Amino acid sequence: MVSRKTPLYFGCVAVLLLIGAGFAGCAGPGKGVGGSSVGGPSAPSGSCGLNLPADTTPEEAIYAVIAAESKDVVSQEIGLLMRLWAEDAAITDAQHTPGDAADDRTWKGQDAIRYRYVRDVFPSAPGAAQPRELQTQVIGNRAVVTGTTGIGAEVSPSGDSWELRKVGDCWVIQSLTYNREP
Amino acid sequence: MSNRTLRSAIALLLVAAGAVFVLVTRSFGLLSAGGAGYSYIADIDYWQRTPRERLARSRYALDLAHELSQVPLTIGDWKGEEVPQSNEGVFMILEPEQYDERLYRNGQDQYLWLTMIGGRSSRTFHPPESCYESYGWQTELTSQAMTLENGDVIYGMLVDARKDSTEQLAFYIYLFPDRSRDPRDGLVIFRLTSPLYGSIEQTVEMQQAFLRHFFTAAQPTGGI
Repeated sequence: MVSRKTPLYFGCVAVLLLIGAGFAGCAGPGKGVGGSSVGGPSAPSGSCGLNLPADTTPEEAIYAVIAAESKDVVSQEIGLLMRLWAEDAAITDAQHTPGDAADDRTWKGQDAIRYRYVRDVFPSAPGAAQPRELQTQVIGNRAVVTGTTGIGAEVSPSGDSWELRKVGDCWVIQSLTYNREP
Repeated sequence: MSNRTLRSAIALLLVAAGAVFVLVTRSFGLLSAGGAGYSYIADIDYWQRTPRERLARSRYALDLAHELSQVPLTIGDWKGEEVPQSNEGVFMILEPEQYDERLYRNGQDQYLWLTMIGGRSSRTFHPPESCYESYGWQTELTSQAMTLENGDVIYGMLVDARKDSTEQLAFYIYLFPDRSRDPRDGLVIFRLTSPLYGSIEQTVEMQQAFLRHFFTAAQPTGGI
């Protein structure tokens, strides 16, 4: 069968292809400088997103949240990480001067915490991270946990102080202060 | 001229018009702009796309296809002057393709610095807060929503930096020519820095007033 497509048809197809190619550069998922695309917006779920058994104690749930944070740092799962943190959470680097806030670095809120993970933590590509020697104190809907974190070869004895908050049935991270050891 | 020849000529013309359209829109960042000005992808980070990514409209060209130095020195009631970077180390470390810094003052004798740095390498875009930290400042980093005249919201990062009795607020946004965020197309960091005027909220309000002269709309890009 003889094709009835005219040069005009081919011209229109060519135009559409060209325009499509132009738009493809503007609409497709992409990568930033040195980075990859990320997961969806975070809805804090904390311990409730970890599929823990129904009879999990508060202490076990809190440990699971902190252990999940370490695991997700290693796997660089930013979407999962951010679900562990409260919307108004904060991270503070005490810079080994726990009694002097004048040199502290603080990241406040989910955007800033995400930024810290992506910019400061992930590039070092820690191969292993594990919370150790956790001491947990639960007071009502709040918990304070001090512990030692080993990220790769770096070990911070009693350098970390976590605060978690219970929202509904879920424990979420409210704050982390690290580099507390002098 | 036969019908066949005429159709061929029309087809060629359409192809040429399409090619010109694509080239012009890509070069000038006008895709989806829907009017005068320039469209950019604005985000709070450049390493990874974030939920704060917006398609932003700007009155001025803020990309590497244009000279950043062409941004006017008079912006509303703000009058600016170029502040040449005297520290050669900045250029050695950042290796920017374009670097432009101005000091703007408004009618209330308030001032702020506008710093626009463009490049195609991650080296150019180290976090502004790290400069403060290297000089021993205390820093607090948060995201900041800035409301534009039309009610749209554009997000940037806000550094609250303190040392002794001095406090500064630095607000910054990363701007990409399009959503592909291809490093080869380059990007620009747009940063406002000012001393504290009253409270943090009042100072942010002042920076927001300045920002509104640049950005006229900001729409979510559809998430990540």
